[in-house]
Amino acid sequence: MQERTEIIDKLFRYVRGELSETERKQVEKRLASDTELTELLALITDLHQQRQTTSWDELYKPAHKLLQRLLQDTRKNTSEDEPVHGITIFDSNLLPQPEEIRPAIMNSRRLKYSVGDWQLTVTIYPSSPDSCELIGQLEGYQESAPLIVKLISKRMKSVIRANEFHIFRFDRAPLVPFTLQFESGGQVLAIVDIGL
Amino acid sequence: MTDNMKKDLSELIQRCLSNNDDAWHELIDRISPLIFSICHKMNLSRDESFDVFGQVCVRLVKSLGDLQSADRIFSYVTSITRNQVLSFFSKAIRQSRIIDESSRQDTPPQGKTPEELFAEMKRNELLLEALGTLPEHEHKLIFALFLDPSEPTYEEIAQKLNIPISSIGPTRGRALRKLYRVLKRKNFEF
Repeated sequence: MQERTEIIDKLFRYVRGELSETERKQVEKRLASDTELTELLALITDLHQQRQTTSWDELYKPAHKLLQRLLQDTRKNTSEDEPVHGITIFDSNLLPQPEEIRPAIMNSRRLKYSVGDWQLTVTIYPSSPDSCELIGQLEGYQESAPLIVKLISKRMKSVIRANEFHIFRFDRAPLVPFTLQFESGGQVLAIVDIGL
Repeated sequence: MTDNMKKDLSELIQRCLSNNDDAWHELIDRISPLIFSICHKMNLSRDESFDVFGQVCVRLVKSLGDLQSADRIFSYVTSITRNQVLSFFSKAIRQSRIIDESSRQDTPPQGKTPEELFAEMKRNELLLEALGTLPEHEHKLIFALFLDPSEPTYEEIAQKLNIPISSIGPTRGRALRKLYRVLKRKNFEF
């Protein structure tokens, strides 16, 4: 067992290029006659390459931050008798900005929410130091009654009727947390908390 | 998967279903390499991969309790990830997006045939699924050694996992041999 642990350690260092010339030749001589060892080397090499092949370093932390928001939003849905609460499933602000792009171009923010059977996509464009333009679409909504969208914050309330594609626009949304409330036929269907 | 590995995974899933956030984060560590690997093999960009990840996570959070058996979680995640990627492509075609030729052209990248790319993708999925089934302490170690983007030193790993540095080598060896045996049983092509 000890001997096996030592050879695996050497394979690990072999993949990382950390062996001396002598050690490397010893390992390669051993590999030439040991199928299991060769296969273990292939396994270690595959694992070693995972970090390099999937943008993993850029996605690891955002994935966990998104998960935390998703779990918090999910817990707002406590009863089927109440309006659905939107669950965050994408936020462009969680991802690191590409190095070559000027920050001004990247000020727009894209958000996506799972809202029951529907999906809400929202794009936010800052238009002044304290306000933004918000364009959204509730995909999958198929009711015939018009979709009314209310933007509610501590200081303002604004009401818009979505068009036939369920696209809506608020030209002055506040740059503070607010809620989008979706209504149809006088009934509140869904609530989405937008935390900016 | 051995009975112990199945039990470990089953306990993790039960902790998730009990609203244990730490358990969810641990589960995500086990399945997200698989999700992002599938996205990468299907030539999705970083942002698109993140989009698919969110879609898969919300599906998983809503339906984890419906899984018939803990050891089915990886095939389930693989299935919904692929479906989300295909749905993504269908939507992109419907919206007539400008398609990046380097990623969507008929000729596969790196001169590989579609069959070769598919085999490569399946092979990678098998590897990452098997990795996800390791017992918690072994998975955490292998994750730290091979997947943690911060590339921690042995000292940092020992501190984070609260283990002696001297145990890293033997635990790594055991975990890799276990992974090897799981993959051998699945006729993995090394």
